[in-house]
Amino acid sequence: MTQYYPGDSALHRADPRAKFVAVTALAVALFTRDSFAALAVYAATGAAAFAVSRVPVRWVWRGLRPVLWLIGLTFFAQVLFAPGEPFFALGPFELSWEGLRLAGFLSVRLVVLILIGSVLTLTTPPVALTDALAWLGRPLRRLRVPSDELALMVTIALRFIPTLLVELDTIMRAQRARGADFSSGGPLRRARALVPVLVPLFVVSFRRADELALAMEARCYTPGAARTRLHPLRARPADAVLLVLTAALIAVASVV
Amino acid sequence: MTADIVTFEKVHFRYPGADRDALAGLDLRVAEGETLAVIGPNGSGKSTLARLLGGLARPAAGRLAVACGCDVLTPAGRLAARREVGVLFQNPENQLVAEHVEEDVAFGLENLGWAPAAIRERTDKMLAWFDLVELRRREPHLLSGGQKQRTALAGVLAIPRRVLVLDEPTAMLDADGRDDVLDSVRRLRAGGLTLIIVTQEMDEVGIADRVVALEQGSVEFDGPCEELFARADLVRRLRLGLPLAGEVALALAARGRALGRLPLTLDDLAAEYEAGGAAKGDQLWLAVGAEAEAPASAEPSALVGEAARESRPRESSAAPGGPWAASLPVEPSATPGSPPGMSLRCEGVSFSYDEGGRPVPALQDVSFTVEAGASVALLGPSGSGKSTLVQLVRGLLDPAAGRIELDGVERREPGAPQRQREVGVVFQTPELQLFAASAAQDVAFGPRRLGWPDDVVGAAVEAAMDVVGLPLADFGERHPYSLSGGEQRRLALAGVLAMRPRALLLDEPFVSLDPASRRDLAAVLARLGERGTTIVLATHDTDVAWSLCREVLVLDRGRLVAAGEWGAADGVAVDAGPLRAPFLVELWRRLGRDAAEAPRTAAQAAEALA
Repeated sequence: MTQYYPGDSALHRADPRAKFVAVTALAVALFTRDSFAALAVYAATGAAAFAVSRVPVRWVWRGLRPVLWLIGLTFFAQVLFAPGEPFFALGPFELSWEGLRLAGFLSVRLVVLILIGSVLTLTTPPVALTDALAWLGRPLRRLRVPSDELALMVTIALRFIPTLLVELDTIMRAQRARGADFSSGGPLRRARALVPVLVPLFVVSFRRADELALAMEARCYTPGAARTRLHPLRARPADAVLLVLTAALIAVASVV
Repeated sequence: MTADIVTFEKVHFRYPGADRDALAGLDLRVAEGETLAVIGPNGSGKSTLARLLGGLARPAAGRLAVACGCDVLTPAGRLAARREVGVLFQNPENQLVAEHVEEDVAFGLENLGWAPAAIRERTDKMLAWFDLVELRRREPHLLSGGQKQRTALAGVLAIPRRVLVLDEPTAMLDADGRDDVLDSVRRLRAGGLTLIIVTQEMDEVGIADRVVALEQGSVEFDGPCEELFARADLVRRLRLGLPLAGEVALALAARGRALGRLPLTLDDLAAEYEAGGAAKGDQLWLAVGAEAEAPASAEPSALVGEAARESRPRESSAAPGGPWAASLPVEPSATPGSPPGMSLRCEGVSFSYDEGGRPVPALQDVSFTVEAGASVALLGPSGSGKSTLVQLVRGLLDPAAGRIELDGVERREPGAPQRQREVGVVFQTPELQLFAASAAQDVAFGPRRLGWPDDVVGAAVEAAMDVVGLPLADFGERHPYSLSGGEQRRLALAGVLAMRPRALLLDEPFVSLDPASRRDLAAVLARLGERGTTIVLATHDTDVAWSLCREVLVLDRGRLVAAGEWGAADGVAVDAGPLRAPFLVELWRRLGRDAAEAPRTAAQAAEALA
């Protein structure tokens, strides 16, 4: 959605666990109330959080642009198909005040949801988010879900995405220079054209997995063993304030 | 007398499915504080030994296998050895796991469960020692090869170690990265850490006190470095990478002019040469046999050292033309009517990359002409625009401004696509492009895409595989991934050559090849040049370029700073722009000879000096 923006705001410093809980609570609460007043409270919350994060508007805009069409689509679908007394009709399409009101409400709610969600992803590096999820998922270990190992896997996957993209680009260029054509023909032909790209990519990735596993063992990694961290997750008083503030806002929104 | 920190006796190891032991009764002792080099050709068991030392693999059998007091024959001993013995691997990319440099350095300590404050302290110490403080928050994929390997090294040593094993630590790095890592290794040596350097590069052997040579899983030589250098036969047979100084010395010896000892640097070579050679009887590092009367073209392997004569017969198999030439057909089956070379011309070419909506210039106003059939070196530091230029000429990128002509046809004119198809490109690490189930099928991919009939494709595949020294009869049915690294790279080159290119553009084709494979590939390129294919060789290895190319294009920060005949009195100076002069030119200067007549190869140098 929106990419992490490095910074040093209060929200950047907050514990990712607290942020994750707060944002999840706000998102759920947002959908439990249907009043414009409550929506206004959440919109103000999102805007305030965004201001505190000090992320430039342009950065957010770039991340949000791709989802705008989704919001637009929601709006038009609601306007056209919502029940109500039509004041304007064109063939099967009818416009009603109720429809406009509902479409407006749903669209704004979607925007507010994305805004609140973005505050989390904008101020939290993916790896910190992974760590937070791993911690929150620890109770699942009783069900034999290896949450810490899963988190390390995600971290390593994130680390190798740029590497994989470079390799993908290199392979595609080489095959194109050998006459491969990835952009013409039907879906079946296109899928087949990708074989000379995907096979080497898989081979490189498998070899990498082997070498990486060996290098990790050489640095004393043992699956299942307890690990410590250079940057452990550390809750501070400010994180309690964040959670209390969130609860208060939800309380306010549920009475207005 | 210091105690042994590693004791291996009669250790065996076999990979699953292999038909012979990777290590066959290996004996090895390493004293505490010693620096040992382990050398040997591919498949000699070097890397296997590195894994056993680090407790990362289980020996199949052995009388004694102890590293740092840990018996690696037992599971508990292997786990303990992982704490005491650090192993740095070859590929820097595939050792870094974390999102930033500092977290990666800390990874081992996190695994051992150190307290965060202790991790912080130790990590900071490592970052400072390896000069990584400024890069601590950098993501691994944004680092250069040398920086990556230094980060990996810091991560290995973050866990306090008694022994460090380096498994070909510089094999995948460029010259700058190599210097970077070797500098760290020298500092570690000075610090007193026990080092075991697995390598194929002779100048890295020079760092060590003692050297062990492996061949087919057992120790073939064990002694001080000086003694190895005195065994030219062994140096050749193990297919080690010699610095050019050593190559020249061996070629000189082949002409009956042995130097006092095997030199590894320009200074050594000049000093030994000026001292007048092997006048001193106590330095007979080369006893030149009857083969010394070999013809001028013979490679120095025609030498038979004194020691070799007393060794077992199977070892005296130095083939004429050098040991590496044995895998290549001496005379390529000439393709009758091989296509003539193509001329390339750029005029006022500029190109910019788009970086977040902002244009970043990569090439500015580049103009040059490459005549049909010429071999041209495209030189310049990393990021100077070499790769971009290669892609522009092939038509994989469109220039922002300027004309690009292939055989006089501009890229927008009719007939240009046909000519672009006749330009073959070999990108960095081209073995990435191998995908088919057999070598022959992979080579046939390009020709088939051109829509050629089966018999033409078949002939093209056979000719291309022949040229690169992987004859169809022997290699056609092999799976590409079952080939060695050097063979894979030559197979990828065959896949490009099978399309019968009239011009060949190569982007850093020598990077991350072992020394023997580098020589094989250089021989193939020389042969293609002789056949009249236009060759543009983008590289920052000045010495290889000097041996293969008469002309040069020099790029610096996106601008062409020099173009023309290289080294001639009226051409481009040997050290134009950001260039380092080729070794042989430096040698000629040092010896007070005319640099404009500097030789191109070690053999030519020896001919002039003998």
